[in-house]
Amino acid sequence: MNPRVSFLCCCVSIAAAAAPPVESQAREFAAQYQRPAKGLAPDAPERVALGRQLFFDPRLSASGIVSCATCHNPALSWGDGLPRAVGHSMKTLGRRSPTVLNAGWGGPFMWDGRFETLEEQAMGPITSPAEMNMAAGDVLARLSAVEGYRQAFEKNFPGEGVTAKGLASAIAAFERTIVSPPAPFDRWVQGDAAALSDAAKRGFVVFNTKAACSKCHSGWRFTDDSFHDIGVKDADRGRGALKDFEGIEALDHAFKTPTLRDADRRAPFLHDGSEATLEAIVDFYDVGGRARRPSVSSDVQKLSLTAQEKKDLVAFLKTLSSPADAVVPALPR
Amino acid sequence: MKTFVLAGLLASTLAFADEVVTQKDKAFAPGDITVKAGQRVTFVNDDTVAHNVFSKDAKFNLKIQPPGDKQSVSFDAPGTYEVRCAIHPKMTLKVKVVAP
Ligand code: HEC
Ligand code: HEC
Ligand SMILES: [Cu+2]
Repeated sequence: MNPRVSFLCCCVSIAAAAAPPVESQAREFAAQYQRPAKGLAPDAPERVALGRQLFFDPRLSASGIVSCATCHNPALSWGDGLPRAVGHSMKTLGRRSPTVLNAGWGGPFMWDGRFETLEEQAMGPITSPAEMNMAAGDVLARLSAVEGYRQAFEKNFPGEGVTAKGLASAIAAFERTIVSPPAPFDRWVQGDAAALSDAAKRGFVVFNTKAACSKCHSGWRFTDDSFHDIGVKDADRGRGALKDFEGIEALDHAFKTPTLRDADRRAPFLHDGSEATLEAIVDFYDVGGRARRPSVSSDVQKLSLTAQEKKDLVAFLKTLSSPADAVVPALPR
Repeated sequence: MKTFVLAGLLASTLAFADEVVTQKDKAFAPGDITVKAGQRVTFVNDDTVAHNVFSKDAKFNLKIQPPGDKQSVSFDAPGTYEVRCAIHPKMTLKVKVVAP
């Protein structure tokens, strides 16, 4: 027998016998998803405490019934569980409320990234007629009338009074403390092989290889903080409608990649709430998105996943959720 | 390979070698370059994802570059330009153009 042929045969049989176990296959991709060893630089605790109160206080709205937490509800993973947000006078807004989970690491903010920082973002919803409908001057006057707020602003911003800048800075400081606690996936990344099922491990491999979800949902927050048209079928032009990006085709219908942390607690999905479940999302990607137009990202392609691969992907996505925990503050009167 | 010529491409500029900027792991490398007026910069996508290099200051848009693609631009007027990727906002490159 030709020695070369027998050598080949031998290799093939070894490969067939010892297909790498799913744990070691999955482990190859783990390092990229390691949570940062260090947290964000902490803001002063009294600033965070003021921000927490403001975030939960409906007096920031004209009607007195809408707070930031109405749409960014900790019980719903800092979203609202609705396909599109409902604002002042029960008016339905154009887009779904995104989570503010781990926002301290993110940015630019909003589905279209129109704000660079959390501080810049914070005054937006208060003064937006569709959301909280409060003139900036009115909200400051209303807060100044509350003894507890006057004192808290004085403590945090001595001699400045109750200002929009202080309000934004306190809210942003609080938002930076909204961090998802470790999920089963994190325990697995840390080395606990038993923290994930084999199905979830297979799904994680599909996520990083055949389905290439990791091209955009990258890093421990599972987002590249970037903007893509993935083929959602609606008329919203997303980032492409911003003046800065006129004429850039790739940004037409482009929206910010959402984090996948806690995703199974935030259905329905996408900027318009048009996909009801994680299974539906996987089907959406399997066919390469629903809209056919030149702006759709070349990183979204028909995947032709098997039924097993789809199930495994969903099993994996569910391991990114951690138990809810939030402390709701008492408000000054 | 498409070439974007921002102003007249002078024969003398052909004397300079192209400056090469790669795009890898969603970052430009190097992130800061100095070129002579008229020199060309070649943007190479060495990544696994698509990029879209553009500059408002220098008024060009290379459009979608799939992995492996190369495109060149010449910077003709001295000054400092900000070049960005439209898709990935954290990708920024500073180009300083000096008189030849
Ligand atoms: C009526 C519902 C509603 C209220 C009230 C509301 N938001 Fe939002 N929030 C939204 C929607 C919808 C978006 C996305 C809008 C868009 O992209 O155009 C958003 C986006 C955000 C984002 C960006 C998240 C990201 O990752 O890009 C932050 C941060 C945020 N809101 C914080 C706040 C704060 C702070 C308040 C209170 C001052 C507040 N929101 C009040 C609905 C609401
Ligand atoms: C080209 C970049 C890209 C790729 C590849 C990609 N995504 Fe996304 N993903 C996005 C963007 C952008 C959105 C938001 C789009 C919108 O709302 O219009 C999104 C939305 C989602 C959502 C909804 C999250 C929410 O809160 O609304 C899930 C879940 C999701 N993607 C999972 C996946 C999975 C699983 C894969 C692989 C099969 C994948 N993505 C591949 C960019 C991408
Ligand atoms: Cu890019």
